[in-house]
Amino acid sequence: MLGKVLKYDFKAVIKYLGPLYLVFIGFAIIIRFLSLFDVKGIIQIINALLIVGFVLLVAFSFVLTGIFCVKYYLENLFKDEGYLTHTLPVKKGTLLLSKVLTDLIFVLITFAIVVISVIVAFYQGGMFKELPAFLGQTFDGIKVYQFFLFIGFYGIIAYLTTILMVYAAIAIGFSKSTNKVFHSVKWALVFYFAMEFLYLGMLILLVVIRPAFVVHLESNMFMLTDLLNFLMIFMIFTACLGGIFYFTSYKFIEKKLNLE
Amino acid sequence: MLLECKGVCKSYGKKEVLKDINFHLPKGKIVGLLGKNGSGKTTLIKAINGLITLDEGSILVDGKEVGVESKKIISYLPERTYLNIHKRVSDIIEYFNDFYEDFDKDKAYKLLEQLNIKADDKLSVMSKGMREKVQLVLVMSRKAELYILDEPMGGVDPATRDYILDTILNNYGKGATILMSTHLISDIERVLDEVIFIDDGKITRCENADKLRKKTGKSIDEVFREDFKC
Repeated sequence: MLGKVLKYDFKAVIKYLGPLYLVFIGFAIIIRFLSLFDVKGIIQIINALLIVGFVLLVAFSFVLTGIFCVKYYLENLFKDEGYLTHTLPVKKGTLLLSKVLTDLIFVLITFAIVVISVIVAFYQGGMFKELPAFLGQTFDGIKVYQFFLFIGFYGIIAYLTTILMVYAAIAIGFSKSTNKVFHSVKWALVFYFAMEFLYLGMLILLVVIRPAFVVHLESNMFMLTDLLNFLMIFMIFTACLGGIFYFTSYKFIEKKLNLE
Repeated sequence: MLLECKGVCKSYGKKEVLKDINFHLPKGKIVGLLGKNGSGKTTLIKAINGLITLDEGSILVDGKEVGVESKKIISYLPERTYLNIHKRVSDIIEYFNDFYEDFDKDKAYKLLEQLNIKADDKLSVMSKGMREKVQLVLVMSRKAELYILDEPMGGVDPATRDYILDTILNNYGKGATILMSTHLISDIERVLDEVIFIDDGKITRCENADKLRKKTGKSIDEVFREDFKC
């Protein structure tokens, strides 16, 4: 059943995000096209505005992806459409897992679209000539590409945890009889501040347990492995929080569903 | 028994909406769930479909708790439009066909054809009444064991009411049970085998329609008006 649910979730979200991706590609093509000419005056201003718009779009691309995924989650599970979704012979866990996998797929697609459109808009001959050598360089026993892969993986974990935090807040808020949106926002804020305090607590704990890291930072003896170990701990912690949010969402959908 | 409700209680905040509901339905009956607006009909139906969780009590559908297995045998028509209006009719039929093993795609297309609805039509261009008919067609194109229809004739003209009732009666599987909530009793009275009266979250009557008529010497509609007199 997961495959079927995933298919329909994917189709639904692409209807929201497809136009956004087309805008990305459209911007990139126009910027590229205008760069072919030695433009002056009004065209130059338009090109500059397009570039600013494009950069803003790139900056907010993941936020927009998240917003559309959350919008779909809300409509598909807690609004009128939920009357159909929750009467399908499908486990609640499958419905939720499909949403999370859809989010993961779309964050990767958004990343790919951003990269492709940036290349289309700004590619210059020989731009990537040095890239393989750079990615192959080793710092502190770690290759640059490994570092970027790690950062990308951490980014995905952090992104999904944030989405799951919103999912859990909505699942709790919409289990209430009244003021469902208010309760959802309230719980999102509670989770957000709780997460911030937990991260702060983790940071303090790390400094207490392993002061060498801070000492290294102050004494310019900073090592890439230190940074990776540091981030690894935070990544595992973030993944655990994501798991807690997932479990919370699941429990509320399974045991406290309230489609009044 | 196809459906058993035992000690079902549900509150929204401080308001008790269902108060110790107990009843059971056998297979092969057409049952009217009758009550005034706000009496708890829709809440009870949602509970049977697993759309709300109970505070107390249990609901068994063909001996199973509400869940994946019960949803396989219940075909539910809610009182609202639950379909994504941006979809085409053919997409929705594919959706039902993918998820419900008992869905009869050919029957759905045939019923839609009778309504002059094309597979390529989008729900967004249809009237509310037409969307409700599409929903009814989808629900009645399943070979379910229990059809739960929440106000299927609410807010529609008499001709449409006749169409809806005919569609229901001509398409439910033999041996299946229909639980239909309504307050338009006179329209469905002739087809009812059993009636359940619900008032302020409590079952006030649960009996055979013919026996009730014989016992009181009145039609179900008249008994309803008497019982629920303001």
